[in-house]
Amino acid sequence: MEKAEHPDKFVLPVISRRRFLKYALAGTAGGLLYPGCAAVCNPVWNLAEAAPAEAETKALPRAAVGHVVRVSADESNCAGCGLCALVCAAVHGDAVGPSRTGIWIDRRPFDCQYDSVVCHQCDAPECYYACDTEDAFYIDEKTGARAIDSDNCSGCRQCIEACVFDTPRIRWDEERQVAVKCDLCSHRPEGPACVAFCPMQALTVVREVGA
Amino acid sequence: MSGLCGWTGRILKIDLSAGSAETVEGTALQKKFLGGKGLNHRLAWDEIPAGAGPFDPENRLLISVGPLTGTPAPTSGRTEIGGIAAQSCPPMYSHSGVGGWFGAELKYAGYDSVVITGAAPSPVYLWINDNTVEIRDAGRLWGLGAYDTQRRLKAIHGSDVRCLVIGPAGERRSRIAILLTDTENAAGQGGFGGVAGSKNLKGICVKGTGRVRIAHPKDLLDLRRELAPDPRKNPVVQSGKWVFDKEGVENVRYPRNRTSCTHACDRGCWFEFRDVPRRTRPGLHAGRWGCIGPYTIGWRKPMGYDWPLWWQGFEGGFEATEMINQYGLNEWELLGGMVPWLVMGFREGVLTDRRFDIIKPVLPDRPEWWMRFLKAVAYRQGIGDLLAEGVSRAIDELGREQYGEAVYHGKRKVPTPISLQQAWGYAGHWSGRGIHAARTFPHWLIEALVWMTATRDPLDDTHIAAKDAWMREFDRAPYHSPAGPRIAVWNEHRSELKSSLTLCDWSFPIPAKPEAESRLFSAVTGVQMDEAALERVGERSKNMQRALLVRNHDRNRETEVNEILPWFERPDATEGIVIDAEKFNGLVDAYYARRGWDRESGRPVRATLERLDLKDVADALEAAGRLP
Repeated sequence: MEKAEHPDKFVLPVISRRRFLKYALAGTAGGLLYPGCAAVCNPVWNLAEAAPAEAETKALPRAAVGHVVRVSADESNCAGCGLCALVCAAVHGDAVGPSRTGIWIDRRPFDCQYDSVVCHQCDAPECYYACDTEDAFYIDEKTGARAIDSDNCSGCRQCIEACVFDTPRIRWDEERQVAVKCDLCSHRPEGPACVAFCPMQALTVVREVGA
Repeated sequence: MSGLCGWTGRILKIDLSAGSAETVEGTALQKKFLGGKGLNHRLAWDEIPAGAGPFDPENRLLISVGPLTGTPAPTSGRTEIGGIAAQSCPPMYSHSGVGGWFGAELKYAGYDSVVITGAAPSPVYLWINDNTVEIRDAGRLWGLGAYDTQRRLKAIHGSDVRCLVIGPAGERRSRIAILLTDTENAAGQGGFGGVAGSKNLKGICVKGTGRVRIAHPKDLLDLRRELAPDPRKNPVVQSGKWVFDKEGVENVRYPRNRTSCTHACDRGCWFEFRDVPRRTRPGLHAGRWGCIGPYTIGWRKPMGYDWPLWWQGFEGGFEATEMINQYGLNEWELLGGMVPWLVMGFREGVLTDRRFDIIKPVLPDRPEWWMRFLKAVAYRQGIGDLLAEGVSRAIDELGREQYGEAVYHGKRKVPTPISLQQAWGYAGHWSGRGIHAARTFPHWLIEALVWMTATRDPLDDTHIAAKDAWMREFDRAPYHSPAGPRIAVWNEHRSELKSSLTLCDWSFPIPAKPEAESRLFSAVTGVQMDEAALERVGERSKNMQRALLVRNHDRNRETEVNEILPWFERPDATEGIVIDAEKFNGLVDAYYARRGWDRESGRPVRATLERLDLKDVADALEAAGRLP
């Protein structure tokens, strides 16, 4: 990973998606704000939904901008065992199950297709913007992971609703009433556990510098 | 049961006759019998009355998972099915394991076991959605193949549900019908598909969003790393080559992938192929292949010895496997027993019964023959009506002399002498004769001991592993050394344990790491148990099953020795060695003594049962007049 050249405390103001769209529609280039913002023109967005609304500004720490780190799957290697989901849950708590994991497999056995589903660690993380609870959603300074502190999560589910993917990549844990997502195992010096344990080495950590 | 680790502490009881479902909470049974196979033994003891037949409503379909199921313990995704097995001869309590992802889903839905009794008045399926359990009308599913049923259930309940279903064979109470999940994971042996069919139960569909609590997650992951080393430091693991070298699957040109057959598996010993054109019907097929499945391609040198019976090539074989699973038939019985028997019988010219006309000429070299044959067996057409009862029953009804002995002694049996009239009604398995004939003397003596006390094919969930030192001692005096019974007993205990915890038969036990199971168990459940203590649970499980066989089926020494000896009195395939009946009886004495079973009757004595905390079982056997 590239070492951050900026001081740790340096915080860059980034505007919310709605406000950005407002600017974009008005003909203001996103690149004027910061080169990283160019990437937020995510094709998944539905422009029709973006009705004008009260703009909010939320600070995105320096660590979040300029590069994206995510777990990426090579489906051709995936054996479908699902260990990634189990290991993820086991390094994040004392229980395993579909509601405890930040990575899982969308299994279609009759097509012999197994797609790993994991947080995209979006350059402009809608989930992060959507969270109103103090200290619940944070950007890890070392890895840049968009992560949830389950101790502070209020269980409002706004991050899940904000996720730009059709199947949200943040899961709801009914038992603990918190949202669960990939934090790139930022607490593990060895990096993401799913990557380390995948028996078929189908998972890798991808870094996109300057994305 | 929020603080409980490993288990869920809930057993779901379904009465299809009454249309009722009830959840029983508690952990006493689970802690005593672990789960899976062991729990099934006990549930069968408590619930299945003596005299209940496989298709009677009083028979139970027992579906259990273990404390490790759904956790990162390697290969732990398995499910164990139990009940009075239709395929066994005579029908008796037996079991069948199935991989896939059904078991973990059941666990996440919050159940250690599902006990199904009664029979629904019309076709139904079970929909288990966490705490919500529904018995739903399956009128529109009845008649569908096992793949199509699962596709339909996924369309109704979502693509992430897991299903365990029967095909047309199970609906027709075939004794060789399976319960299938996904494309190739089947509870194959035992005919439990027929048992489900007799209950009008098309399948079970599960969605679980809950969790399994783990006492020591870090210890568990460390142990997993120890048992399944880091693949990045172990390049052999990722060579992409099938670990079990099967004929005819190398160098095919269709997209393929190495694949796991169950949740949390680290081995990936199965293969799957996509976009394979069918030979007899239009379209492309995607599916998996494991275990005996690929022998549909051809049967020329199975397991390295000459036994040339057919060769139809990859695509035909893949399509035949697809249809075997769609119809819900037992691959092992068809490929390890029925089709070899039909080919040899046809070559000998002994298939003279007119009912055979529907599948004659017997030409498995042609994909069209497989379609005709499989359809006949699934829908009970012509001789298929009898073949649906399995090879053993078919030979019995058609006449042993012509259809058994004539095939065995025929001129065209070369070079492997094989009989398909086998013990307990199942095709052989690693016993030095028939399929896996490569096992040499004296090693098949251990199989003889293990098969003797079993209810299915030999080595139903063990492949006999042993420390080298034990094997050397056994080899020196096979009939007299105490090592033989010792290896048999050790493997039986380990097989009870791995099917109770649940773990994969191919991966466990590990002779060099005999403490692996107990360490996994302690890491997940938090219940401290060393190797010896856990092995005692395996012994309890074996004795629980034994007591059930004694009570419900009057299992005794005479029955089981006489069932086994005829098979081993035929010369083995490699050296022509036959079993010495008198010396084998001496071996049985030593085995019973080691087990703490009565030498004359083969029944467990009171002291053995009480030592294993089964006093109530001893009392019940005494009341039934079956305690020695």
